[in-house]
Amino acid sequence: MFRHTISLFTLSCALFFFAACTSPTASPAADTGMDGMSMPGGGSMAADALPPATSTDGLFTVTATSQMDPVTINTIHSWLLHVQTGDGVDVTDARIDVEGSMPAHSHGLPTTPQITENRGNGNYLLEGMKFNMAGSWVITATITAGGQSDTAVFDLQLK
Amino acid sequence: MKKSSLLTVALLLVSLTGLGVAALSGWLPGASAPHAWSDEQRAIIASLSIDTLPPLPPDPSNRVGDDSRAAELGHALFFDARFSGDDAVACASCHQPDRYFTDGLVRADVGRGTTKRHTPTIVGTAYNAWFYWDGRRDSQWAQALTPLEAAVEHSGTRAQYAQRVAAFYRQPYEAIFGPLPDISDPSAFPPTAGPFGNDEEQSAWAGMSQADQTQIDVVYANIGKALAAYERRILPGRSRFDDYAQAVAANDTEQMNSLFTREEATGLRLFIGEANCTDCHNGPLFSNGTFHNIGLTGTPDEVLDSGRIDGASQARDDPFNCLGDFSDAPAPSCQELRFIKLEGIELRGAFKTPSLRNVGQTAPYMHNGSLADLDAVLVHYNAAPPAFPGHSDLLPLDFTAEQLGALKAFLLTLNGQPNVPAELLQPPAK
Ligand code: HEC
Ligand code: HEC
Ligand SMILES: [Cu+2]
Repeated sequence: MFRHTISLFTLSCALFFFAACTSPTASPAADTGMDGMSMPGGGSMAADALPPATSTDGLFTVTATSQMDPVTINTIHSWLLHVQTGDGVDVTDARIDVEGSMPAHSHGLPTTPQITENRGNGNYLLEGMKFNMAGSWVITATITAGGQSDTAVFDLQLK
Repeated sequence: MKKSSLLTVALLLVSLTGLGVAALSGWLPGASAPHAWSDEQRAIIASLSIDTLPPLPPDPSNRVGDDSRAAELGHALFFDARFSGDDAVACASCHQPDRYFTDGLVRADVGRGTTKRHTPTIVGTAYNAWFYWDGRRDSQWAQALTPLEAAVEHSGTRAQYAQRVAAFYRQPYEAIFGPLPDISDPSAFPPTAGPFGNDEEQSAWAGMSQADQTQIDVVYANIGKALAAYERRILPGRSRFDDYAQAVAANDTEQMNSLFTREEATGLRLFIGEANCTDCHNGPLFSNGTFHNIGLTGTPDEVLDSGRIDGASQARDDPFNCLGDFSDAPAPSCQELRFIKLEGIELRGAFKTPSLRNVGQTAPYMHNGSLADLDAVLVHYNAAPPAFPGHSDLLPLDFTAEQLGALKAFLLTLNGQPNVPAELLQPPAK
């Protein structure tokens, strides 16, 4: 009976007092990024968290890496974009228009980021990136090169 | 059958015992355990704590921003009513140190008519990218110049202020900024002249040579830079919430219990959760520093206020901005101004998210001072009326009175005196 009670106690704990019965382990008040680096809470993401995005019609593949690591809200910063054709050739003369928004809210980025430097080999400096809220953001990069335009879409989670 | 009923009884008994133990240790089951936080909630709470506020970054546009002599001069100027058209108004007339640098009025009034908007605090604003409710200035020093020439504020002119620097502050000014220009010839330098003065003052300004105007403008800009150096010392202080956040980080339930009532903890839970307040009031200053329309339609006698949509282009056009001739910043470092957002429906009727630190002591609230107390603020968020002009970024909360009470109780835990040496809270000893 006694043994029974103990196991029942555990069971009822699980049912009724989940929070109270779990021993308060000291877990750090931070999220852990993909590379194991400690991430601040309240709206952040590892600089290299985004997988490359292929544009809608498959014309371009865009890799976007933040130059601020981690990306945190409320700080203006730059990204590096790398643009290739669908079959992996660097696009060195692209025009890139970047926009961002929060689909759950009707607002965009608080800034107007722009490409300010073509660094060669398909690399472009994107300045003026800034997020002002945690949550889901969508960043679109419209690439125009060789007379064709196509849009790559990134889905971001700032946690 | 018999076995299963025994099981039920045992379960019930044990549950009740558990309940007693839980109640004794301040824990209650499920969502009502006031101090039980998930890892995600703990991370958000940590991000709001003053302990995560970084040291104030330098302002590249103001090379004397962190010069203690400039702060000393700015301190004197902030309280010196001689820096007004009629020797009657100082910055401290409206930004009163014993009111957390606010004035307690709906809209400011120093006897020359009311200002268009409500007086915000200056505490911690040195961290901002944009100044004023509509962000029409891009640095603390460019901001400081504006009230000096506003008719309903200091109501003087830049030429007048340059003369007063020469008369009252020549030595400290020259130690910081180098020699003052010779502005003693009244035929070249009228005693009062400026682009925003009365008709006479404006025509006196227009009559000056461009080179002489620039000499005055340099002194005027430096007055702003000294004031900014002082304001950069006016930082927010620790609140009970910050101690609670520390206890949360350490997972110290006993400490949490002694710092926050159940209601305050519930308020915090709503603030970072269901109420979505941290969408905008985020980070250690409880502000994202950007512009939102939250649907505060003004009183009928108010002129329609378009907020940020106008403020953005004014910041871009301000001759004292980061990219202007009087800025000390290399152009590439003027990131916020270079990538300023000038268009978008969301800028219409949008105002800067204010910090909520010490908010319990700075009524009334909002850009137009239209909400008299925190209860009124929460009633507004609960209903989230449609905006005019523009559209509101809010959704109605539809909270119960109890939930609103909890939010208010939490907001009051943010009270805390500014982190400022006492001597900076009063006029300098002469
Ligand atoms: C007559 C009252 C009055 C006087 C005098 C006054 N201010 Fe203000 N101040 C205001 C009002 C009102 C606003 C908001 C106006 C707006 O946003 O359009 C403001 C805004 C500010 C802000 C912006 C805060 C923020 O969050 O963006 C700062 C900083 C500031 N004042 C500093 C000063 C300094 C420095 C002086 C002296 C040179 C000064 N003020 C003189 C009433 C005053
Ligand atoms: C969409 C962004 C946004 C959200 C969400 C938001 N606020 Fe605000 N808050 C603002 C802005 C912007 C202002 C100033 C608005 C104005 O003056 O027009 C403000 C003003 C305030 C003020 C007045 C401060 C002062 O000094 O005048 C308080 C208090 C406040 N908010 C509390 C809250 C609480 C509590 C919540 C959650 C229920 C919340 N806010 C949610 C953006 C937001
Ligand atoms: Cu949003």
